[in-house]
Amino acid sequence: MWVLRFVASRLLQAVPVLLGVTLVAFLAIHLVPGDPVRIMLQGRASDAAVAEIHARLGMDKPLLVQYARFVGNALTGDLGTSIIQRAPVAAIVWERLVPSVFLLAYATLLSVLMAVPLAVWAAARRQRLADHLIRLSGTVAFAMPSFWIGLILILGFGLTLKWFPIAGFGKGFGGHVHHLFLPALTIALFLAPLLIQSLRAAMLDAMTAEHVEVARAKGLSESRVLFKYVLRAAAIPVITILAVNIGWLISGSVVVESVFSVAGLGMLLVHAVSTRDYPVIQGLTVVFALLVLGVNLLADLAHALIDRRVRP
Amino acid sequence: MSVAAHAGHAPGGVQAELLRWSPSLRIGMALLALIVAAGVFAPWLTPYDPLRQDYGAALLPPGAAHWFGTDSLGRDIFTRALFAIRTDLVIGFWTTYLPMLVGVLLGAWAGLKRGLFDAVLMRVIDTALAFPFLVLIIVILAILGPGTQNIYIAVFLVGWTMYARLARAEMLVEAGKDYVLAARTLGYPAWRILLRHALPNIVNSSIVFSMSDFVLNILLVSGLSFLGLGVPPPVPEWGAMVAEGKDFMQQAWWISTLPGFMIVLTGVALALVGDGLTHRLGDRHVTGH
Amino acid sequence: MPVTARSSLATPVRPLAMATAAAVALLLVACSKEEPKAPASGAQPAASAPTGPKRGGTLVFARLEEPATLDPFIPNDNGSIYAIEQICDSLVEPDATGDGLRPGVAESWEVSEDKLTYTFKLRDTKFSNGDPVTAADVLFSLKKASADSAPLGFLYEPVKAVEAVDDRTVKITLKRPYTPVLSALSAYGAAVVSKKAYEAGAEAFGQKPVCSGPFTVEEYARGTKLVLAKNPAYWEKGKDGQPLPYVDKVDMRYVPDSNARVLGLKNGDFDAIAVVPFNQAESLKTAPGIKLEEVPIFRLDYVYTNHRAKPLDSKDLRLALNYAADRDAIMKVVFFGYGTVPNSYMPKVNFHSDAVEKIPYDLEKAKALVKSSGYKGQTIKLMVDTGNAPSKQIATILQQGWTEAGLKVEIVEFDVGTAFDMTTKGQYMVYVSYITSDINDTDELATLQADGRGSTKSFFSGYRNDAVGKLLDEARKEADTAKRAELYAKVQDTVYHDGYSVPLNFSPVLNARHEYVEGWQTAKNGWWWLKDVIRNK
Repeated sequence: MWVLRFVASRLLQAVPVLLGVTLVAFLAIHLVPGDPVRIMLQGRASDAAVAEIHARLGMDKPLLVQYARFVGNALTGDLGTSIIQRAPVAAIVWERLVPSVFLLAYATLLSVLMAVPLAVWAAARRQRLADHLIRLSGTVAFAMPSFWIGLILILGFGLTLKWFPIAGFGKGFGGHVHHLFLPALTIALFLAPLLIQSLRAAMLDAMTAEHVEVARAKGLSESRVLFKYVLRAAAIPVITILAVNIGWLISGSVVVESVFSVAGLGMLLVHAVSTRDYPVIQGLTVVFALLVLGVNLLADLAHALIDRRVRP
Repeated sequence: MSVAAHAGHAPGGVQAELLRWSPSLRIGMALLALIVAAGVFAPWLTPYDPLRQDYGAALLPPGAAHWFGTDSLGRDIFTRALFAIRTDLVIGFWTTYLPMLVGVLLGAWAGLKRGLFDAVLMRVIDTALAFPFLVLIIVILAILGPGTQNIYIAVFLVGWTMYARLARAEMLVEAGKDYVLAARTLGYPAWRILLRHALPNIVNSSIVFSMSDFVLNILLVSGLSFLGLGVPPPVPEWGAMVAEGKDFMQQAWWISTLPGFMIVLTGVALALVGDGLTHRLGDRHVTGH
Repeated sequence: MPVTARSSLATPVRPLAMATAAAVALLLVACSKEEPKAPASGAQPAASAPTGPKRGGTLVFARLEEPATLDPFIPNDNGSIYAIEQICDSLVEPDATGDGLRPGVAESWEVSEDKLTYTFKLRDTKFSNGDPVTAADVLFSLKKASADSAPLGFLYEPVKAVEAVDDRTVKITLKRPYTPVLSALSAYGAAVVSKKAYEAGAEAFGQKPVCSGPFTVEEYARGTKLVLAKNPAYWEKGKDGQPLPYVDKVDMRYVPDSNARVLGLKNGDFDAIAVVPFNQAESLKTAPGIKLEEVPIFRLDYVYTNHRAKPLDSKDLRLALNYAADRDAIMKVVFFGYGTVPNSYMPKVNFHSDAVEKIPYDLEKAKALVKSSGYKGQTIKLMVDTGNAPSKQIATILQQGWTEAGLKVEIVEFDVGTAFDMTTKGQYMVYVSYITSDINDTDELATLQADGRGSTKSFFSGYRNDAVGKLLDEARKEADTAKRAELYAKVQDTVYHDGYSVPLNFSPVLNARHEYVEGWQTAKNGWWWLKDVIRNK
């Protein structure tokens, strides 16, 4: 039952944050010069025509009234209608959500696949050559800008070797895996060093912990100790690192999506900002904030499941 | 930078301090010094003007005359990459240390005083962190327009939150310690306790964090330039240079790739320094109490 | 329409083009002389095959832009317009090159003696849902088209009334003689839609329009692709006497990254691609089995100049900007030789005159002009769209020349939304952008750009020369084509040499396709006639 209570209390805490995020976004967007209706009509519209469309879209009302209406509608799942695309924002965002979430999940998976063996290896050989090399390459990878590494991957694996497509989302699950490999790798190269660092540190701590010493004393083999006790203890910091960085990952994916032309939320955002498509920008902020809060909630939940001490 | 200042406190003098620098700190500092020197002395290191266009020499591959080749306007890329050190390091510095100054003070104050101020600050920080960084910056830059000053403002508006969080957490620990309690009973004003007594003890974690923040900010600023939201042309800036080569990847790979190495090199130098500081300041922290 | 902003320079713009035209062109012999149009590339049918053109197959076609909506009464962007052109027909349609007109939903029309009444006979054809096309649908569509809020509403301002004479006859009366009316009626914004389907829900209609054009929408995945299927009810017949289109489907992919489009074409992922960036043209020219076409379109790339902002109120200073603009460098570095250095303030439309003398690149002259203008060292802010790489290159080149001429120049970037807004409000100095013509008649853009009495203040430039206004009034009234041409040539000469703006290039659009794609034709309005395309593979 604690799970339900835990989730409920976290959701309650999320409400003011969500309100804050949407209000800030709402006000910020409306302070930006540029009127979507004029952009849409390309400068030739008469003032009367612009006013008529404003009235139809409710854009002539005071800002706070517009905000209240937005929140009210959002509660029923209605995020409004795109001014430029004339389609429900929820539908537009939903179509773009799939590639973005696929990309983030794929990148996370790739980085875990890279990080776990390397961290185990580094921890097992701490302060030896392998350890130093792994940490150094982590440092280098961390310092590589994602837009740059993305272009290098495009040049190497896309244009020269032609192993992977350099843009798009592909068809079907296999197509997605193939198309998104390079973008996912780009994000993973940023994430993996962070994971390696914290995983290695957590494993070093765990290796000297009492119950591990006991296990050793019982004569369990070193590799068994490593996998049975140490890795489990080290899982928590990994989950935390992923959760803490979700905001950065989403930000990073905006750049990566634009480098690889993935039709995800990031590309949608960049486009919506330049055309001042208010409802879409607003809808996106809600979705982004929900993603961040959702991932953090999942992380806390996983944390609590693994470690009884943090349960409420 | 700040490292030298801290080293000076120790009794053994600079000489003795140097001996205790870890290899990563030494390599990092050496690299960083080299990069800064290259930026400062750029005009004497290259015969070219970073802005001068020479349409007859456009898109030349790397060679003896142009080490990194030339871009589509015939400018020497090596020269521009050197001059860009000035742009990127300066922007990186201010986008890191101004928010740090404000963030540490606000966080520490909240941790010391608690109450309403603390509660409000934490809500604000939660909100800022729930909002993807880049999204916020894109919206802010859309309001203000691209440009160096506006980057400072945009990054500042989000950048201080991490420092405030760190400083608040440290302050909560410090606030329970004897010396703070003693100072309180003696009736010292809160600002004095904060500045004179607690600050030196809580700032270390922020300094360590600031090194990786510095790297992230250089990545962020070059990323913004890559998206076209950063430093306006023709000022040389690494991210903008990478972006300029994007459409020429198939004919002129060097335009994008070589300036990127400068970002990596700078990032590695800063990260090594940060790594070294973690150990040093971590040690001081422990031995200090 | 003119307008600025939006896509990058490498893209062809949205010629809102109104398609237009030709009616006008027919009237004006003069103009037909000046555009010796090579039957733009690939119009040759798959002649040789004795069995007639090959039918069937899916054409995979990668584009730069994606449609925002398929509702013809809303959009203004190329992504939408070019797609709508494949789905919806208007009463009159642009011909293959875009220079002329041909019958569309109307199979014929008559013009009254006083040129005030146009009577259209509707074709016996059906919408894609099987309903017949009736006069009621035409009335409904033209009402939507001429609404104030419709993107091209201004084009139909001279229309007084639209009436149904019977189920298959529509009569349009004008307030005054207006020759370009047929051109205006051929625009995408005057598409004939099914009244029943539109009234059932505009939003649904925008996803899946019910029209009488060559294709219907099979799938519309935002951000990815638009799949069009052959409309079995389409009226036009191919060379084999069977209904067009030749292909069964068109899979229109949205691929904004130019590297990806070019590579996809080379790899065979795409049969054809639109908008090849100028810097990649060379690599496609030499690629085996691939055909690159260069199509002139109604577009001028130029630097908008705000005459109301000091020091740009000085004609000498504006001319100095022109003399110090190294257009040859821009042509070489940015456009890779594609296009023509302009001698006009507006795109090359029907009354364009080649006789107007070009302003050369002359730094000494520019320096002298800066001096005589009384320039006091103000910073000239050169605005570009964020993320538009070619615009930035142009700005950088201009900055070098202008600086050498003795001016202080700073490049400022704003995202297109803001930049466009600032331009319309007159809060800018100089802005690297472009304009495209809606219709193939000089009057529209000449009036819009150069007649200071209009609502856009000479298209946001604040330019005002009463002599030009008078010439334009005269030209509008003039019936004689040769005399009209003379008047417009005078306008072109005056406005251009008044330093109206800094014109950069009459830029073309580059498209590419595999050789097995036959019958490809790009109109000057920017789009392609996919109904005529044969996928011979």
